[in-house]
Parts: sequence; structure tokens; C-alpha cells
Amino acid sequence: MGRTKLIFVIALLVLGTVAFALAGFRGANYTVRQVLASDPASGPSAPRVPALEFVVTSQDVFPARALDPILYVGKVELRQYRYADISNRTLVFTLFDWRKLEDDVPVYLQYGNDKRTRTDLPNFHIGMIKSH
Amino acid sequence: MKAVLKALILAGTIGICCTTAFAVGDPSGVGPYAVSSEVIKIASVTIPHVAYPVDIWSEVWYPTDLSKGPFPLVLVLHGNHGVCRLPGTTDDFCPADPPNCPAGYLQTPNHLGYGYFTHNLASWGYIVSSINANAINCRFYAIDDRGRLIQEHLRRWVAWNSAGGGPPIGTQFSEKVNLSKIALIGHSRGGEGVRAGYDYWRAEGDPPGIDIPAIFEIAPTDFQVPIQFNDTDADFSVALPGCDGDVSDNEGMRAYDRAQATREKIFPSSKAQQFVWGASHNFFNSEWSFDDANCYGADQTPITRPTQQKLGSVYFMGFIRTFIGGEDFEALFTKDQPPPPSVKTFVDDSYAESRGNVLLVDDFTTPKAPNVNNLGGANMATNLNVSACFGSACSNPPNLWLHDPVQHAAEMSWPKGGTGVPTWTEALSPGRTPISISGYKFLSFRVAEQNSSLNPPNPALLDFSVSLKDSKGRVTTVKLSTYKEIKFPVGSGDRKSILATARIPLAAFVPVDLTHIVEVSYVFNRRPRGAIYLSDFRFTP
Repeated sequence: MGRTKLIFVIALLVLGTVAFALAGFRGANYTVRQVLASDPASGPSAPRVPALEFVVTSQDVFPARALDPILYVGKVELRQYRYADISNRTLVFTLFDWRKLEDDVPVYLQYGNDKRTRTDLPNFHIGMIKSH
Repeated sequence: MKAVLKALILAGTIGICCTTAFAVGDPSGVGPYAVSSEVIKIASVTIPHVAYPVDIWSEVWYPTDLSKGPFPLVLVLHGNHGVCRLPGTTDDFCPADPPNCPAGYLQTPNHLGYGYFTHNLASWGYIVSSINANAINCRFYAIDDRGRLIQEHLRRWVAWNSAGGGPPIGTQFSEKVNLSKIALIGHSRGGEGVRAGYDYWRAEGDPPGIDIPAIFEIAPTDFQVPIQFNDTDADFSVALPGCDGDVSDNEGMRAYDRAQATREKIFPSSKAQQFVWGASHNFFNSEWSFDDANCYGADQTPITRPTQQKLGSVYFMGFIRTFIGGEDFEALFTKDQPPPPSVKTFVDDSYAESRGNVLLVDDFTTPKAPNVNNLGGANMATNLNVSACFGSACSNPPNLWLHDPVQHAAEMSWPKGGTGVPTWTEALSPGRTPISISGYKFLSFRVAEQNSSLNPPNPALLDFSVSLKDSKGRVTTVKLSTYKEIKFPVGSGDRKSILATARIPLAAFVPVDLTHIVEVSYVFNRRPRGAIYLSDFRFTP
């Protein structure tokens, strides 16, 4: 397959999923892991401290738009996120103040106050946390 | 008699101006200057207060013959969007480490998406620099970083304009830039970003020796977290797309609310807002291919990208040419004249002169609101339900009130169940002592319908009467619909009530004696029932 053809095929695959997910993100799920990370709010040379990462995946692309994705875990809002890779189907939310988490609480993802994007996820359980 | 004669003359003058259908001229065409463009790029620069390296990168359009300068400077800042795309495609993605794209991908030229107006604007004698902020995209929040990027570009332009110039362009723009006439234009997060840059510059005086008298925001965010940024001391305009599928709450209206409600400390300035029916969030940037238009119901018809960009050119260029260039396209923003034919959709406007230049009658912020107005006069309701509100207290789903909490209003509905024509009357002083408003030209107020079954649905337009009464008991009454088209709130299910400004020329109230006015009344005699918001009664120049 020529390079142009390959790019065309990739582009077609991408086109199918790049639009905003207006009725939630298909096949969305997540895992939780313990990590050591630097809190950007503490400055550029902040030490690495224990934190949790919620790794949210979907069949759909998480678009970059004016509003940020927010992960709600019970009463805790996770706003600090990054894209895991160029597929844009994985968002990594970092939580430094993880002691506020409660067991068996509902979880959903939403872009800002855009309720059309609300995507409900399985409840969070403390036992889901994987140590590094 | 003298006053009446004076008022008649004024009426005649304004009548010629405003009742004829002369449209505002179209400011979006090509001007007299030949235009060149150039890329300025310094890779991976450390900017104060930003935790990661950022490229100083922009495309600059400028009059080819710079010897005619110095020229005003316009900085343009795009919003958050993917920064990598495959060659030959326009779908954009975020890398793990923005703006560095993986092998096979190209950087998205987000900053080139405004070429539809930057070239033509430069041809009228402006240096227009559209900034690449890709390093700041694909990150959470980052409004402050956008503001810091604006501040850094301002520093660079100060250096580039100095006699010695600066890298990488040397002395090309030395003494060619009018640093006292800088305008900022920002789209989406770039809108709040230019506001942040303006606020940092104001607060820190860095860089010194410049002035930024004008800011235009396009579909901006207004996160306000952790800092609320404001546009107080600049001429300011904000365009709100009616079919914004991204910033769907049109939260840029809150920036307008705060700007128009605040008395400037330094620079008396005008504030404007355009709610553009059918416009989407993304079509204002030609590189953002995805059509995000969501009109939330059938009231609006989405407009095409060319139609939207033409409209954008008219308003963005009209704003810069008026408030930086001193040309006269102000009626685009006051709507005292119809917009040019190139504006092919309905635009619902708000407009406010500097708070220091108007006589504020009532914005419903006094401790005794709604019973006492800002002039200390008594307000009186007849057969009308009235309560003052702000913030969430104004919102009654399915009626949405999305204004900033600084924006107060009176919620009114009629009939109350009694007798008499539903009327709201405001005395213009304590004890009804007559006042002179002859130094002003307009009665201005903000009004919106509520999403209420008391109102007929679209396409019926709101109408009521407004009257002035003088100390001799003379009353002149005019119809709102002669001067302003107020439509039912847009949406589906929950609908957005967005205040728009009505401006009625005082000359229309002749023969009342404008030097001895005692009260203004809003008379709801053109519908048997209704529900609205009213606020910001002002006499304006």
C-alpha cells in the first residue's frame, strides 16, 4: 500500500470518530493507578508526591475544545488531565488530594457544563486502585 | 417654548438619521495599502509564569510600504483545539506533549484560521499579528498561560519597534508600530486569554509605554477560575454565536455584563455584544473544520462558513477601524442604523456607553430595588408582578438566565390580576423633582423575554410602549418595536433569556420638555399578558 493510500485509510478511520460525542462517549471505561507525580499547581520544580491517576478510555475521540473534560468521582472533581497519546481516546486525570475519595461512588465524565457530553462510568471502589 | 423648539430641531435631525434605512457602510473590504505577510518564529522560549516552553510564533500581515507608519498593532489569539494533523487532512488531535507531534503528523496552523479578515484589516493600515498558541493547547485550563503569552508578544513588539529592533526580524518594524494603539482579538479560550493578557499588563505595567484601548472577543470562555478577568478600561465587544455547540452557555455574555456594569478607572469606553443567530463556534476559524453548530431547537437556521466569516469580517474590522482607527462604523454596535447587506443573519445587540458618560436611572442594584431606583426616585407598579433578581435567582427552568451575577434585573409579568393597564413607572428623582435630560440623546435599556407561556412563541416579537412625562403633565409614548426587535428566547426545552439593548432617541418623545422630565414609564398595553426581564435604564449621549 502506498503512503498516500495509507494516510487516506487512516484519515477515514479517524473521520468516523473525531466529531464531538454529543450523547456520551461510546465504550468509555477507566482504571485507577497509584503514581508519583509533580503537582503543577505547586510550581515547576515541585517534588514528586503520591497521587492517583484515573485513566479514562473510549472508542470515541476526546476532542480538544473550549471546555475542559472533568471527571466526577463522587463529590470529587478531577480537572487536571492530559492526553495519553495521539489517538486521543485516552485521558489521564491526576488527583493529588486523593484522601477525599469515597468508596462506591458514581463516576461520570463531562465537558464543562455541557450536559450533552455526560458519560456515566462504573462506580468507583477503593479496591480498583492498582499500586505501581 | 425654547426647549420645545430645541427638541423639535433635535427630533428632525435624528429623524433623518434613524428612521431612514441607510445601512452602515461595510468596513470589511480591501483598503488602500498593499499587504505583505511574514512568519516570525522563535522556538521554545521560557515565558515568565509559564511552566513549559512556548514558541513565540506568529503570522504578521502589514502594509508593504511601512514608511507610511507607524501603524496600529492588532494581536489575534486562537483558542483550544487539536495541534496535530495528518498531511492532507483537517482533523486535529492532541499529542501527549503539546505542541510536539508524533512522526507523520504536521502541526495544525490554528493561527492561520483568521486570514479571512487579517489581510484586509492590514490593508487599512494595521499591523496584524496572529499568534500561534499551540504549545498552550491540549492542556487543562491554561487561560493564565494564554494571558502570559499575550504579555510576552507585547514585550517582543516593544523591542521590535525600538530603534535597535530585536531578533529574529532585526529592525524591520523599528519605529513602524504605534504602541499607543494596540488592539487584542481572541477566539474561544483565546478570548478569555486576551482578557487575561490585558489584565496582567494593566496590573503589572509590563510592558511599559504601550496602550491597549480595544479588545474584541469571539465566543469566549469565561471560566473565572481561579481568576476573574475583566475588560473594564478598554473599548470592548464580544460576539456570541447563537448556535455555539462548544461554549453552549454563551458565557462571554458575562464578560460584557461585568464590563458594562463597571465604571472605568482610566479610560471611558464603550461596550458591545452581538448574539449572532445561526453562527457556530468553529466557523470563525477557517482551520477548524468540524461544524459544531448546535442551535438547540428550530428557531435559528445555521449559517454557512462563508456567511459567518463575512459577518465576522464586518464586525471585527468595523470594531478595529472605529475604536482604533477613529473611523465611523459605530452604528454597527449601537444598531442605530441597520447593518450592511453583507450581514445576512439576525444579530441581537447590546451596547453601553461608558458608565461615566450616562445618567443611570435603574439597574436594580439599590438596596431598596425594585422599589427605589439609582436616582433615588420611587418606582411604581400597576397590575404588574415585579421582583428584582440576579444570578441564579433570575433563572426559573425552563427559563435560563446565564448572565453574570453582577447583572441585576427586574422580572416582570402581567397582568397581576387587578385592573388597569400594566405599567412600570420610575420617578427620576426623590420627590419627583423635574430633571433635565436634554444633554442626552437616547433612552437606553436592556430587555429580554422570559421562556414563559405568558408570551406567544416565535415568531411573535415583543412589544410594549415607553413614555416620558414632563413637569407640566405632557406625556409622549412610543412603541418599542419601532426601535428594537426582541424575539422569544432561543433554545429547545430550556431557553436562554439574553438581555439586548433598546435605544430610543429622546427626540422621539417631543413635545415633552426634555429639560423638565419627571418620570419614565413602560406600559404593557400591546399584549394581554407577558413575562420579561428589564434592566439598565439609562439616558445616554
